[in-house]
Amino acid sequence: MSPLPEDLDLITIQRRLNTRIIGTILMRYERVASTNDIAKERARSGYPEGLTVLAEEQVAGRGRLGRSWVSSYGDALLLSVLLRPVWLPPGEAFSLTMMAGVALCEAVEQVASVRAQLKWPNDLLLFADGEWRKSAGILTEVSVADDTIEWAVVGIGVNVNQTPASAVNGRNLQQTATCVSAAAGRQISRSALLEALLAALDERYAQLQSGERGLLFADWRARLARLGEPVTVTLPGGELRGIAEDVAPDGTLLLRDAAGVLHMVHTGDVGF
Amino acid sequence: MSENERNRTESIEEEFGLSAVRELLRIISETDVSEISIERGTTRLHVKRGPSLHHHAPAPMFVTPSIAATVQPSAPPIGLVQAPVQTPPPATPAPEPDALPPGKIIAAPMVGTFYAAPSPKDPPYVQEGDIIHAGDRVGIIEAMKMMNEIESEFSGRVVKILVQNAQPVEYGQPLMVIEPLS
Repeated sequence: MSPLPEDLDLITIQRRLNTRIIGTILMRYERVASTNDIAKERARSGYPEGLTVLAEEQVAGRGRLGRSWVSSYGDALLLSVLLRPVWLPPGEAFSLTMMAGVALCEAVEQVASVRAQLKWPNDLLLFADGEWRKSAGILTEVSVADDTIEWAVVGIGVNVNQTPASAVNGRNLQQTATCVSAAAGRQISRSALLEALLAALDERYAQLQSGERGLLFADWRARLARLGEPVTVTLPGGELRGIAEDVAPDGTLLLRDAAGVLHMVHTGDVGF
Repeated sequence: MSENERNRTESIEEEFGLSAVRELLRIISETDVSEISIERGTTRLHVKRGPSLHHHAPAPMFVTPSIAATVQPSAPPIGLVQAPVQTPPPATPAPEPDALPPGKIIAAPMVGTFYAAPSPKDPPYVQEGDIIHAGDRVGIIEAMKMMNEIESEFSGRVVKILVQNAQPVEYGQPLMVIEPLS
């Protein structure tokens, strides 16, 4: 086994962390299929919430629907956080998406001093090379049984110091993606970003648990890019074009097409 | 085991509980995890693959200042909730409840898009005629880039699957009928 990059030091990170739940257990791997898979396995074997799984390399990193997510060894932050929000009705699981997106923006803004936006519902957009580009993705997996959320695994992949230089899902990432350091114009400390992210998640999770969902929604909505502008949404069954008028309190994207019909979008990829 | 090592082990067990320590050692020995760090109260336990096992005694905490929540101007009221809203009709309308075969119903716990398999490349979780057990995964509902694994609360035979792959589903919409095995 080759030595792990030393810039992420769990002892130092945990000593500096002052979180209530998130990151109280940190597990670091060199190579995994995906950090979500490991965290889900741990969820099923009864691990407490807050467990955070880190890896340098994912051989089967995933986005939606089995799409791949690639990253550069030692230059990305790949993590999955286990949550057990049994107090959250499954119908409000979308709050977890909002929480993760907002926390990620806050951490990046704090550490890199750049503005961060979200592409609905929770892709991180940073301004680099003249446009807003994706530099992180979040995939949340939830297990619901008996009308209760048993566990949720929030998987986050951030391009920190390098933009992956490959074609994925038919798209050349260099043309659409960026990394935090490119937006900031300097190298970014992965460990500082990780600490800020775990702290922001902890704070936002506490806020959600205390019932302040309205505040979380307002912060999430304020970060959404392109509200009021034309977008194309790729749905499971085709494409929709229209104006992204707004989002409903449950996070649904409200898109008005050329015929004036308002569509409620729960699922889909937004393109500009 | 030296006196020193025994004391160390006992103190770890006291802080973390024997079963937790056993589980930790199992993970270290049976998986390829490189490093684990656990904090409980003021005590931290750090295990790194290799010969060394460090128990970190309580140490002064280096407290990172908590992140000040970014203050956003409060969002204007949405005001769209009352707007006429059209949803694309489900590909297959949910049959009337009385049209369902007898059995236990697995219903959608949320609004979203139903997927029968974890990815387009994979076979469906269940097919009609399959025997399933309580806790088995039967599908995924996606909403807002969140994949919700749906588990069956019942054991039995899948007699009818009422939704198609990639179909929008409503809250409470019946997804499948399970016939309990006698």
